[in-house]
Amino acid sequence: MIVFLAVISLAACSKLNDNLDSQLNNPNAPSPSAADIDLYLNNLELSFNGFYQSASDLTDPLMRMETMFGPTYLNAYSPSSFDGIWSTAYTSVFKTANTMIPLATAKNQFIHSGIARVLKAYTMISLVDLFGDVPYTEANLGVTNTNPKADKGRLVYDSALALLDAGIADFAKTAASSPANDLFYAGSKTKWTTLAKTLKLKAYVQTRLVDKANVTSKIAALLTENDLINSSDKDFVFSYSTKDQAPDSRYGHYVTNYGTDNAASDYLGNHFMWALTQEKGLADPRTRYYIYRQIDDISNDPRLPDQTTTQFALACHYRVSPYPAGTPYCIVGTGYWGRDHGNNEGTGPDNLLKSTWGLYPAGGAFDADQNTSTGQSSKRVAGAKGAGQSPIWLSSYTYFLKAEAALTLGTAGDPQTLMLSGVTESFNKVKNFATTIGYSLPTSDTSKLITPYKQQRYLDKVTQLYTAAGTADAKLNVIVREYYLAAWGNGLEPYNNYRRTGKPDNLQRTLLPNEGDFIRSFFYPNVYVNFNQNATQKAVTSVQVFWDTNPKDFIH
Amino acid sequence: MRKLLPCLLGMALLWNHAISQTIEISGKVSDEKGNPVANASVQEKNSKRGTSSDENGVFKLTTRPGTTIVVTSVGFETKQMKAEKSGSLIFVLTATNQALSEVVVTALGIKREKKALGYAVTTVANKDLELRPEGDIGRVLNGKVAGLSVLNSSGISGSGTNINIRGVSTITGGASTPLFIVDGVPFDGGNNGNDNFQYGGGTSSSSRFLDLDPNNIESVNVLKGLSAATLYGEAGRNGVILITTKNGSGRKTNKKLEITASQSLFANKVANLPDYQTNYGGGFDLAPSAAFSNWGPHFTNPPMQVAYSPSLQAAYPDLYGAGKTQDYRAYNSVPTFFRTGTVSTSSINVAASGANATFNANYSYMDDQGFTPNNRVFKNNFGLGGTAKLSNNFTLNAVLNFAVTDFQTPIVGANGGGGGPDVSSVFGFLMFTPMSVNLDLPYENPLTHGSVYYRGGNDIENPKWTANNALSSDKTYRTFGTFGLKYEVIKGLSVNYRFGLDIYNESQSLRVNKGGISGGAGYVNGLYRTTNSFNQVLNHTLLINYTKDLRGGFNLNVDAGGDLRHDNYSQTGLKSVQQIVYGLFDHSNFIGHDIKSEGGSDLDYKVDKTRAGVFAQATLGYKEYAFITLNGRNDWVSTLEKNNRTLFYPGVSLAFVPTSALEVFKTSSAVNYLKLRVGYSTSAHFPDPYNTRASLSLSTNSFVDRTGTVINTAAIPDRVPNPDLKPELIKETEAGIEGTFFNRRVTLDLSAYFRTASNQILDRNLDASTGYTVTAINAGAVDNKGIELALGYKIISNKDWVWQIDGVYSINKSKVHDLPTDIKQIQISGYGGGLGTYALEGKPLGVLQGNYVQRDPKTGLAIVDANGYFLASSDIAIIGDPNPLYKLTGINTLSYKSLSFRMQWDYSRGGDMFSNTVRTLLSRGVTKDTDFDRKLPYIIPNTVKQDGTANNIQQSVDNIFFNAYGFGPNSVTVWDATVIRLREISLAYSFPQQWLRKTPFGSASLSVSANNLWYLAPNFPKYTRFDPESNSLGVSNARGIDLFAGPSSRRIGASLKIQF
Repeated sequence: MIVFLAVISLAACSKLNDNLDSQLNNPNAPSPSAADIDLYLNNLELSFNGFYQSASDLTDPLMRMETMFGPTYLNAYSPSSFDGIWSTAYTSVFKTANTMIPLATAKNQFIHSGIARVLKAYTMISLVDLFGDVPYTEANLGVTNTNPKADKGRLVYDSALALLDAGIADFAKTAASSPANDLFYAGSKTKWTTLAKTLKLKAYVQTRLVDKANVTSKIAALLTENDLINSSDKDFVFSYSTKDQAPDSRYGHYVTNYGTDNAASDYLGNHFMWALTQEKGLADPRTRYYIYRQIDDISNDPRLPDQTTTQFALACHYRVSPYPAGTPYCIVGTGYWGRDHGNNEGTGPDNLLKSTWGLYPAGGAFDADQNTSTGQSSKRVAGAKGAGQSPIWLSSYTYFLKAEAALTLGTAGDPQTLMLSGVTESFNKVKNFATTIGYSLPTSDTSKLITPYKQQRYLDKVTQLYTAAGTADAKLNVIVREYYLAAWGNGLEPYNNYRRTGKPDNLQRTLLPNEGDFIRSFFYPNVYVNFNQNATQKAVTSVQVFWDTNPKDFIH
Repeated sequence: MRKLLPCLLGMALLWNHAISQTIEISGKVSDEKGNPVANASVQEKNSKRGTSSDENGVFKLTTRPGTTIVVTSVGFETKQMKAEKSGSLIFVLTATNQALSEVVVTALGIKREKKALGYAVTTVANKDLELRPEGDIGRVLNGKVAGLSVLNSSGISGSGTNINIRGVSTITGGASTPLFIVDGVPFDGGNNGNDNFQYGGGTSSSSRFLDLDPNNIESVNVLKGLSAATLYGEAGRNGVILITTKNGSGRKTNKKLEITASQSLFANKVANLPDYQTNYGGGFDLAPSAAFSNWGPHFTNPPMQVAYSPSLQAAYPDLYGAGKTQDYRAYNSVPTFFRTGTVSTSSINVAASGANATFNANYSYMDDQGFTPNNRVFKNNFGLGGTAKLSNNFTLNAVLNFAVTDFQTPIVGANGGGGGPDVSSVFGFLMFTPMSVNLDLPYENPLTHGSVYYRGGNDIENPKWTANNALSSDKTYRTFGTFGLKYEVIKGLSVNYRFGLDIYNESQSLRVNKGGISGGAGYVNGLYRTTNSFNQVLNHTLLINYTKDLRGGFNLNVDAGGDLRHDNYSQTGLKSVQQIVYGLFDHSNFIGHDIKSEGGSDLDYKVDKTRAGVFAQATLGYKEYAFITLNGRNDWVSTLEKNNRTLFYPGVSLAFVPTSALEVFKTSSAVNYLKLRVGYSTSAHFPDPYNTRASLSLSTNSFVDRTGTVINTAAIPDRVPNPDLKPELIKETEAGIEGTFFNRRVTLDLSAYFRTASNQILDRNLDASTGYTVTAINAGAVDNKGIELALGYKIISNKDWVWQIDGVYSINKSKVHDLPTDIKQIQISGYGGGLGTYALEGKPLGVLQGNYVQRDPKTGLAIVDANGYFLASSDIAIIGDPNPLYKLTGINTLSYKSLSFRMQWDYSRGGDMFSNTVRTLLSRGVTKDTDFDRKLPYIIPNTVKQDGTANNIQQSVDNIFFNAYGFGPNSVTVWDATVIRLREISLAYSFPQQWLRKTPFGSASLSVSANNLWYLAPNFPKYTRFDPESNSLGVSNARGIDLFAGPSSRRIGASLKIQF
């Protein structure tokens, strides 16, 4: 009897344990063995674009492309502003790349592994550019190391360069299959190889201050091989679509400025618009593609019927400029309505009035003097419906870097010619953009479009400025300013250039006279400082990244 | 003649006596207060002859002179008197020492004499639960039980309610809602919010104990400590609320008390609107404009004329178009937004009983209209139950309840401080409406149905539009009940099987018409989210009870058994966006469809949990005054891997009754009853399922490219699974004293406890550079220690008057310790990495952290920046502790004959709160707190500049309030949340029995009552009149953050109850 009972209860317990075991697996998610390498690659490419876009959005206020609220550099960003980009880099880009590289290699899917290596390398380089020393060798080990130590920026750069070489080696192998989806280059090994080599050029020029001799020879070798992004068909861009819901696949700046009746919520930087329209004494023909004005002339618009209304929407209009003459303030021209650097006032009722992102690269509206807001339902301007492109690396950038290298390191080529090629590439990119994304411009009025005549006139003006520049430093200023103007939609490269070269040398200062030290690298993110024992927050904004050996008060 | 009459009477009596030798007694039995005692047995001593008293305590008896009449009645001491002659005899019965004989329901429905218990049990009787203005049992219990803390999420009718017993013991283990046991079986009291707090997840979904009808509750027993709850195992770790419904009580009824009908009607009003100033209007820098802020010019007489807003002009060109103007004056719009709702509850209960069976059925209907337009709750509760004692030693009982709860509210999203709400929210733009804004103007464009409001860019949503077009609803059909069979094997040994069932189907929806403004593209083009969930709790319990009187005055009582509980929750849902036709909510009327909520959580998921346990409890008593109880339970749980899934929790408790043991007390009138008790017990907390095994995160439809190709993705989740996860261990020691003193005028129930929960299952945040953001680990401990005191004093007790004062005092202190050294902090709730509640080593659980004002190291004064505004830190630190120091409730009951008056005051001392409502009211300049001369410049007092010199930076007042408070550091807007409240006041009248004698009614009573009639939170800015009894973090363990949860409710009304 006792034996019988024991057997019964043992059987019952074992049955219960089986039953309990069966409830351990999450019924809502597949097991990791269900992973598909193409699904990982999709995740990697989307995450990578998210990383790039965050990097650009965090830096363009510093470059006065969008506004920085400030009012000082210390107040401009709280550490939590960087939590998102930090998580995207490590938990999405790196984790996905690290997971898929061995899987892809094992199955001879070398295009997949090569892409993973290249995107990972770009992300590593950019993390260093933004934060300086960051975890790399101890990173991504999960609970094995919950407090990864930061590595020197130099080491992370070198590791990234090695990864780019490994990626290039992958693309040279015969791959078992092409990616099912490749949102950048449709699976072209050639284009990915070109990108990898161009990114090496970027890294070498970036480190020229700390490693001059070494990078000079390496740049020379890349120039000799000449497998670089030097025409717009090889541009490294992420293309958005016009799908507006489920999921919203439109360009981010389009969504925030055209998506709803609230119209424009981003403030563009007055300095950038001034550099486009006023600085050279002739309007940049790209302006109407870059910037859309909701109001053409603020002094003569029924939407601003009286002083009270104007004052409330645009308080600075009735104040005296605190800047020396020749510096933009408040409104550029008659309708370029942005914000001055470090203006931290509350937001006035100006969503339907201020200038906003245009056709290029956000997929917004071409400015054909519509004088119409991007909000308010029926009469709204919708432009290209958000089918923009993230200009991560364009052929024009390559030429500007080559020009800088030729000028400062004496590498091959004439700096002036290379610079003009950069400007021409940029004009072509902007001019052809509507066709690229399948959009018809709302006007054929040549006075508003880029024409060969206007393009040439602009090139002549730049040539004249370059020739007039007496010193190599002044010539570098002309080159980097053209890079700045061509990089609309990319805050990261101008921010790198600014810290490396100090150019453009006349960016608008903050409204407050004492803005503090310029942000030479960002504060570390909250999630890093608060959850990692080995992390220490920076005390000041003037901590320089390893390739920046310029003086402390070099830039503002 | 006057002398003749007594003489004649005397003669007659003598004659009578002489003739028959019998006497006629007409007597009356009453209690000490003079109330009649019905059904008292009236018998001749040493004979079987007798009668019983009627409804009015009256009896008639014919007996022989000199016979001793014995009157007995349950609950009273026996009384006897000698009847010498005919006439009337008044028997005044003294209540027995109830403390000695009181029987309470303990874990698993086991009834025990209270004196034998080594732990605290508080009973709340139905008279304190029924006919209340609130239909939420949680809110009704507020203040009535020491150690039970109740916090509303909002004054919205039907919104979630937080309940905690003896503090919170878990850091990241989810809301510490106690276990609800209804008629002996588990009842789900959770909250199934489909979104996090930013999207209104807390305030827009109900706590599921809302499905209970307080009018159908016979009694509530609260088991506070682990000793009391050991038999429930880990499920009872947060305490147990044991509810016996009238259907499950098996009580016997008397004639004329078989049917009870009641009707209540209350007015539901907003309790706490700010005191708005009426001198200044909307604008900034003393210039009028359509600003959010109220820093415009002083009102003039006659008023300045201003144009209508562009959106209103466009919508109604004839009425408000060009050239038409409105007064720029104080419209004081906010109060007009709210309405007076009515709360009506109708209830009928029918009971029948026979010698061996009882039967009860009831139905009630509640219609609770909130003070916010379109907020309402309808509840239908139907139930029946009965018991039958069969002749073959079986006893059968069964209860079945059916509830339909239908809740609807305008969406209440969080307002994170960016000026307006993060998403659509009815209170988000309302509370700080500028004085010059007239909310009575149309809110909707008649052609597009879009929101129309005062802003130039029409960029904020009209709260009236929100109230009518953005509604969240929750409809639940619920069946719960029990079936039990008990078999008495031999005297003293019984076997009891009980099956419990709790099944509900909950349909939630969020309906936002197109045409709104807030919340981005996902909201403004129309949003329709529906979820259907099914929850099932099945429970089998087998319980064997054995009682035996042993030799030498010992007595043994053993309960042993096992149970098996299976929980199953599954939900399906769909979110649709882009409405085609306004007003129609059907998924086919929407273009885009998604399986994720607005906040990104999955709408489709299922959770399965099983728990099996065996338990035993043995009580050894000695001579009715010393008791020792040993108990233990072993659980097996499905949420952990095999090696870690089982745990044994033992407990021991002692009770000693000196008043029964020691001679010295037997005659004492100072100490009538005294019990000392002490107990030690353990429990555990098992984690939520699916933390131990890896899975892949798939996401479909992540992106659609230009060619229309849909991109799907796979990712390794950011949570690291932990196969070695173990249960949390909880240990508690408690000691207490219970007693009645001074002729039972004073009652005392005092408990002290120390609880420590170690091996915490922590959701540990990881630095993303590890590749992950969170993992569950076992580490750290939380201590809770506290005192619970219930003290009653009967000041007056005589035939007509009773005046009783009861006080309930609770104090609980928590401390987090033993966190691993490589963890700096653990965030419990709030905005990721920023403002929120945290667990920090050595600090109370749930301290508030946020960014703070930098202070001068020398003087400690706040530092201002170059503009004269507070200089914010770039990191976070402790800015407050939301845990109250203590809570005190005073209940005053005064009755005169049939009239009784009751008053409940609650006082909560200390505890900090970050309030975005108050922050915004100040920064926008709408309340009287900012009703000063606004022309003068302002310097924030007691501040220094960065170089340490006194701050001399002048700013306009609006800039200071706007930037320093509205957008300043979090620490600036944290206040002490001390609050005193008149929670309930009622006046009840019971119609005297003699009035009802000739009617079919057995009893009738009428009461007038109110709740939340008055409160004061003295440490908040005076005119904001803020009520800190709210929680924007919804039903969770986190406290102390208000993000426009909305005002609280005040209810005033009357109830009538009749029995026949």
